[in-house]
Amino acid sequence: MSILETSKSLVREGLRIGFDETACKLVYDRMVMVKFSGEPTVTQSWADVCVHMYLAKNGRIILCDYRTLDVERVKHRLIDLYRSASSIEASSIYAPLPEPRRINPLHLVDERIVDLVEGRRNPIDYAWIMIEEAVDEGADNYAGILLAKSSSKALATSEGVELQEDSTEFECYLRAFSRDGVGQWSYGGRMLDECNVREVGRRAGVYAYLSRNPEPIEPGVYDVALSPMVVGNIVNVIGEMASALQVYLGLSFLSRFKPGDRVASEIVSIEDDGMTNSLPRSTSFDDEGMPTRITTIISGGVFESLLHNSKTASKFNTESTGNAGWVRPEPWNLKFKPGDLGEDELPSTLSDGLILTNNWYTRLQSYVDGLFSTVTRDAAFRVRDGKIEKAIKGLRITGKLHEFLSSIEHATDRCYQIKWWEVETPVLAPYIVARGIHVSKPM
Amino acid sequence: MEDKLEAIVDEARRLGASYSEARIQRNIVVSISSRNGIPIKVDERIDEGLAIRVLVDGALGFSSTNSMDDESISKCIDYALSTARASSKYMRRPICFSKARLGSVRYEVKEKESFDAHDISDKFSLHKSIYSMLRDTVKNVELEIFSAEYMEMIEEKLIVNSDGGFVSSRIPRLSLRYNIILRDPIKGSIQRINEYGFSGGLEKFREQHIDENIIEESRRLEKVLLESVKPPSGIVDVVVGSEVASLIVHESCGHPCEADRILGREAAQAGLSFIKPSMKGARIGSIHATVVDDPTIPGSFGFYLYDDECVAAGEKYLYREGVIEGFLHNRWTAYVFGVESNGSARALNYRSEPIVRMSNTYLTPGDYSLEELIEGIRDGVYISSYMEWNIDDERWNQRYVGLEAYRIIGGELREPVRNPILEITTSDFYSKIDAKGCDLRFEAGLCGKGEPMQGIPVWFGSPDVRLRHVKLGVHTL
Repeated sequence: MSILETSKSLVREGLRIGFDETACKLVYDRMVMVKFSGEPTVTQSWADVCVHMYLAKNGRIILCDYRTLDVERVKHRLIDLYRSASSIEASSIYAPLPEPRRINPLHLVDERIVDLVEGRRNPIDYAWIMIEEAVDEGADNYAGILLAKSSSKALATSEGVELQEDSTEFECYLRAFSRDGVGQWSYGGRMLDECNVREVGRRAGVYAYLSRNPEPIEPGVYDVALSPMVVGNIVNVIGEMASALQVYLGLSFLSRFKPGDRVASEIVSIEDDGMTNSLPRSTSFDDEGMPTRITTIISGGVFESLLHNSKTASKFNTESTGNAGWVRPEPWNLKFKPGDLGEDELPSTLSDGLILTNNWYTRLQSYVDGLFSTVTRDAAFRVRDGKIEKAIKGLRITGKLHEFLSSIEHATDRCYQIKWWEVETPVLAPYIVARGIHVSKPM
Repeated sequence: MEDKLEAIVDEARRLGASYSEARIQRNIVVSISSRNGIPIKVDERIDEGLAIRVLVDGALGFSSTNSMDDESISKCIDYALSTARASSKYMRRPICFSKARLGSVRYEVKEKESFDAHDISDKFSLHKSIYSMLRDTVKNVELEIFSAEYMEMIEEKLIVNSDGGFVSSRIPRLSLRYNIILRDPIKGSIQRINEYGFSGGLEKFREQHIDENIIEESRRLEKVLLESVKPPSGIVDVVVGSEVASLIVHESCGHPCEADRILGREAAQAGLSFIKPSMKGARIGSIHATVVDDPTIPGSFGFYLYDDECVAAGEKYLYREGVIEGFLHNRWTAYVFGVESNGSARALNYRSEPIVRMSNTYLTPGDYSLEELIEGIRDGVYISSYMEWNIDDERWNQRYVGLEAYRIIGGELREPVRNPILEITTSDFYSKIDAKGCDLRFEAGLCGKGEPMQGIPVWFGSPDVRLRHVKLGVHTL
């Protein structure tokens, strides 16, 4: 039986048992990952089937994930869950599943990635292409991963949605070391282009070499240029907070604003994009069968829209943006709009400032107030009079998210597809320049 | 099933693996989430499949599947072997496992009150009752949001390896994670996110009085929101409360003592360690700095008796009386360091390779009461809880921002202070401890590491500790 037929049969079974609505998303994943640190540390491969189900009865919502293709076992669980459904109250966010919509299929498969997954090409050889680029730029050690994935998903709902989609995904990142200098870069996409693999190694290697002999600097208030890796991390936090469910749960600084409010400088436009086929999480339909689209979260510094599924849209009296998650809307791919600054012009925008190329561990004192800090890692530089003066280390950016966004003055004209351990939702990001940022360190 | 795993291990060996390991793991998870006492959803997750790990020509291969037919299993073995073989040509130092005393055991944690003893509505009633009590308690500010997620999980593992290891285990766990936002039109808002977690059954929540704890805390947070003042920004003495010190110990002792991190295996993800292999025996703090990791603590969130390489687990000293004493090892890192594995390899689910992890990591207690710690301070701050924290990727430069915190003047607790910042290096923290409380308490959390990410249940613990001469920061916003 095809995965779509299996999905449809489980939807029918849910209705037969007595649920008012059911939806089934069945996903078959094949994945291979090379992890290395100086040498391969492990090669991992996965072949996985997951049955995701949405069940509703009188406004109660039950979600299940069963990692099995044992359909009879799943059906048996549905009977038990039906009994459970009657013993709780209706969900505060219940709204019915939407009617089927017209879906424009996306081409999301790159056969070169399928070859990696199926073992017809060796992913380790690609990893070493990336590594050699870093070494050519001066790296004396390196660590990272290269991931190839192929997926098939089928979606059926009790409203009549019947959809299927195949896709591939590719991700690589490398952290390069050159004595005490460190640089990191990443790439994520639906397609495999050797140029992107090489660029990850090259940029990591260059930053590692340039950042040797880093020195501590005094904490204070600085103008900063942030690389796409840093922009990607912070935009990830903002994208997650743009999920309407996060706002509903008090886990977003956007809960203190309403559409139309200014939350950033005019240079800041952030979109969610589910439909550009080169981006790693693009898909033609969401978990409710709604077509994905481009949703503007912030436009020219003005808060425009949250990300919705049908349930949160009903709760917030608006329309779905095609970001289901049956309960939690999720961003697909986030994009920070490029500006018109050339990358080589970056230092000249900083008469007395810092260039920070990577960060991690962004945490919040208060989600609703957006009070945060994040730790720099890898290459960082002190800039004086528009010129890089020296490599620096050991810093932390602190602030309030909307004040940080309001301090952004420039964005460069080229964006990079960033995805790695600290940027789970892919981000298409330029370099940016922000003014008057608080920088701290232990005293 | 054991026969099947033994056959897989033998087959992998026959096909060229110098070591092979097969694990069937089933995690059954049920969770209930709510906002302001009204349900949002119920989740059920059954995660069951096979993991195979092999050593071939000095390279490590891992493969997993949840299709348990013979053909899928055969492919799974083949993937593990072929990918390992393909990477062997790039190996500089072949991977070897240390010798270890492997278990051949079955064990389980018995719930006093099993998850099946109550239906969903009984479990959800905890959300409702806490929300109701919060509404009765919080009187002077608005209770804007109380959201919560109850989770119960049964983890079952069956592991066989080619060195004779056999472990069958069953560990039930439960947790409650919550988010409270209190708001005042003039003072703004205060937000608290916290988690309780245990191994065992439903009896744990009752025994630990978690509903009463949440209510009492909300009463104090209301006072912090309404009455707090700016903290002192100079050099003062600080009593770091158990909750904050527990996290510091996890971040700045547990993580840097992971031997795989020291060797650079996680360099591109969770990072490196300030500890280098040669630093065993180096001084890191005062005589009070003794940190232990122990997975065998009954009822703990990080409980296990044998790790996922079948090695017996036990108490490990990481720092002892201010000196770096030992690291957390799996069989690979133990081989590199020339020691025996101390049973620290854990895998989140069947899709995860076992890697070096903490379990329950804690600073050993002293003999002071909290009152005595405070009595010894002329001018200082007591930081009881936190929200924001982070640390650099070598586990040296770290920051913790207090949530519930109080000024200390003349040995007495005074008014609450808002968002005091402890930004400190690892050696400064452990060197400045001059006294420890007698009351060791534990916090629960899901610790993230690995690629793909594995969020694994742990406890981190500490008594209250007193630090001398600390530069506190203040939010400049």
